[in-house]
Amino acid sequence: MIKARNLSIGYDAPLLEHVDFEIHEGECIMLCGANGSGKSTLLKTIAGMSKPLGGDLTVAGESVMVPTHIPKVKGFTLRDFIKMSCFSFSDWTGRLGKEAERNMNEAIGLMGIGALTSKDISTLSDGEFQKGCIATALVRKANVIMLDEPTAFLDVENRIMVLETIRNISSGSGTTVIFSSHDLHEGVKFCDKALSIGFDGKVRISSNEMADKIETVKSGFRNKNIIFED
Amino acid sequence: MAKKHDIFLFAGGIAILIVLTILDISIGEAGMGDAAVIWKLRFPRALTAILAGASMAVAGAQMQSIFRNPLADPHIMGISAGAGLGAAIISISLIGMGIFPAELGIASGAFAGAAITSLLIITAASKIHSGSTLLIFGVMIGFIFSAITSIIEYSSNEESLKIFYNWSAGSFTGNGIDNLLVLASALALGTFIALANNKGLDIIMFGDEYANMSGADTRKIRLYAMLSSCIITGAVTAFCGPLGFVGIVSPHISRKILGKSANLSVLPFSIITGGTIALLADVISQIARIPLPVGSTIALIGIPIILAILFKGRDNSLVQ
Repeated sequence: MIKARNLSIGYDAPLLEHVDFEIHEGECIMLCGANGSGKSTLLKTIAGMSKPLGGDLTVAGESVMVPTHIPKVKGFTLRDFIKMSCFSFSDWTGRLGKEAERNMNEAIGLMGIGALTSKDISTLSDGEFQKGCIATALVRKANVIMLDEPTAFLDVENRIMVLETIRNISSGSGTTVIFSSHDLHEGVKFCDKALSIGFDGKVRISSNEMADKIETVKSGFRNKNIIFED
Repeated sequence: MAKKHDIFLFAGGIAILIVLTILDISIGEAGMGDAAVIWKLRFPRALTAILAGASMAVAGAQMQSIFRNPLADPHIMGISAGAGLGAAIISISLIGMGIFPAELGIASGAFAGAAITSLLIITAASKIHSGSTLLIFGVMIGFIFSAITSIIEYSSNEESLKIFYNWSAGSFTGNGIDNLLVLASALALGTFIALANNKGLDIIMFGDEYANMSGADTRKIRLYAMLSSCIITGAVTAFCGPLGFVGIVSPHISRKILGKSANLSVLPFSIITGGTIALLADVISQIARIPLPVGSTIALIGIPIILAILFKGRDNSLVQ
């Protein structure tokens, strides 16, 4: 599904080099690493928003990325906001075609946010809005969905709710989901594999085993006192 | 239901505008008795106020969207300062030397100044990706132009200064059918571009990353919005002077009344609110019976309105 071979990424100068990993269809991947390690750049490169500087990157099908911290602009309902993400599939008034409208209703149903769609997004909780943000990716029917720090700024209850949702999308629809996160303890429980960008610039991917996932996450950080409890 | 509600609000807005227009043309010593005064003097003045206010509101709504800044308008972007510099150069050099008639000279100077500033900003908008960087660019351009204008004013004679001051205080009077046609055409063209760009103006408020990932081209959205604002501001500034505030306050009032921020509704409604505020300023000027600069009157009306919006209720911000 996603194959990186000797990949170099960055903007003017390479941020990460010799990156090799393989992600399969329907897997739920947690991407972790320190601030500035290149998580967002890697996601943007997979999403096609940033060109690789070298090497090979193969992504089968369409990929969509939801950026971190989208502002809650007052005066738009959640339905308006989700509809807006189908920018290329709507007419000049923003009206969607029949298929896009059906996809949007499906995405709303899948996220369980039907009751919230007529609410102004500025009145939603951060967790509810984050579900709406994930729906904007689902509505595009992409094979790969990337979420840049979807649990940032959320309290523990909303973090778990969002991670459960991410897990359900991946296992329910066969969509590959990659989410970057600093909530390592919680994220590691919900993902199939961990993809870690190390302080040494090395990118490692774990197996499905919990012990290996934890080891891979730990390998990304200089400080070895990161403790994972059962 | 929502559509009916919107139609009711639009109809109400238009009704207020009509009542204010009648009030505006009926104030004065001659009352409604002198047809020549009404049709040659007062009606063109009222129409100028409506067109100018509506135009600045359309420009302001677009700028607030593309810069994600509730205080953005053509003044902040330096377009009015550019127009001011153009007007100052012409009024102080060419008019002073008797080369140009005052009115035509100052209008062409202001229009040229606004157009040159606009070209600078449009060129910058095609190269600069970030909305905040572009906003800073506009503010800096405005400061430079204002500084040059002050230097010119400092070294000019009394007569030239008076001509320039009269223009910079703002006025809705003295525009004939030709000027009105230019103002109306600029408003129509600017609004057409803005409405065609309405989806982009909405999505860009959610950030460049989100907009680009949804398939929008943020650079084009900014470019079209700037083009529309420049056409509008150039015409208004040339014939009415630099009109501040109405561009900032009208889109806020429109969003508040409509209860939504979608530009497909906010842009047309801002035409009504902008026109109403400018017309109200003109009515006050007529009632006061002393020469009040339009720019100051609009600020005196606009500031209490914006303060009322800010202090009324908890949910008063554009972006959360």
